[in-house]
Amino acid sequence: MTDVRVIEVHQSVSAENDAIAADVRLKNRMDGTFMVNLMASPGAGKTSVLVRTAKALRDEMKIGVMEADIDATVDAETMAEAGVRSIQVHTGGECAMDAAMTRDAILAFHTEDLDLLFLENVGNLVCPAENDTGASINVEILSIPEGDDKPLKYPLMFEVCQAVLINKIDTREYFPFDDEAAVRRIHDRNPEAKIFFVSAKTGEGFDAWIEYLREQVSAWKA
Amino acid sequence: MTSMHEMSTVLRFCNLAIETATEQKARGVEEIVVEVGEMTDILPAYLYKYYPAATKGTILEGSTLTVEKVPVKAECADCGTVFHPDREHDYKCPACGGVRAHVLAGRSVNLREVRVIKS
Repeated sequence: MTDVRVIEVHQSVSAENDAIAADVRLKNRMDGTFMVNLMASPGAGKTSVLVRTAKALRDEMKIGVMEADIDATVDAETMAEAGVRSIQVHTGGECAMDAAMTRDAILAFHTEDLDLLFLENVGNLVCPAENDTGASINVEILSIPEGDDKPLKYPLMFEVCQAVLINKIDTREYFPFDDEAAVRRIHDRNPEAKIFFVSAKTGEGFDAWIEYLREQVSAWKA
Repeated sequence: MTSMHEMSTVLRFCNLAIETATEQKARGVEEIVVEVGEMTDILPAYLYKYYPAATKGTILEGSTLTVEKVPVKAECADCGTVFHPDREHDYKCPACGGVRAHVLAGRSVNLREVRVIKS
């Protein structure tokens, strides 16, 4: 007779990921490295936002970029010109970075002397929202041409983000985009989210975003 | 959109199940039961599809995977109503229209139980 026993486990599959994410945050805290998990749809302007952000802050802090996008939009040269160290991270076909991949990347990249570290996550709005990478904050870039209803379609993404950049405001006259509706929908998902309207092309609105980052970095090191 | 998160999800719960079976000094595994929250974007059909490949050569090989969907349950932070957030109500509390809610269930993938063969 076979003796079959039911073993109650009741454990979340993300428990292991969350534990690694906590380790990543602890290491970054001890190193004084503020890590931003940058998420967006492909084409929302992650690279342009990164380049302009890096140029604004490179004289006051050390910045690095870990590029995990499958389509490899940031090449090392573009980032080097902006005064930023970068590495390419291969997710092996996975649709998002998880905490273990992030941990391996920060160890390989020797991020300990960096003040500000960007993780450019894979370009999609579903999977990256599901994994805690161990970042200090999550930031989502939404661009004007994508429309103001994105927060309705991808609620989790907007729930997990501490800040949302609404990029490409220079294209406003060509696309119907209701600022108020977008802000309301984001705040419905996450009332604490900071929202910045910016143009990575013209630089409009960047001052507030840069000041926000500056404050976050110094608070992280405090 | 092609998405690969089901494969990594399968590997994660298989690892947990293998750990459990090993701890129990099991001879084999008959079945594992996994709960998938509605809010996870995980498609059970893919979990079933990948399961045989993921378990090959392990103690789980040949076992049955059972997936149970768990609906989202949220508790309104304003009035305490427990509700199922849906698009019809803009994901808000249907009782008071509040937007602050604590998700109680439906957000994770859990390994619920492992039916181990002891002898």
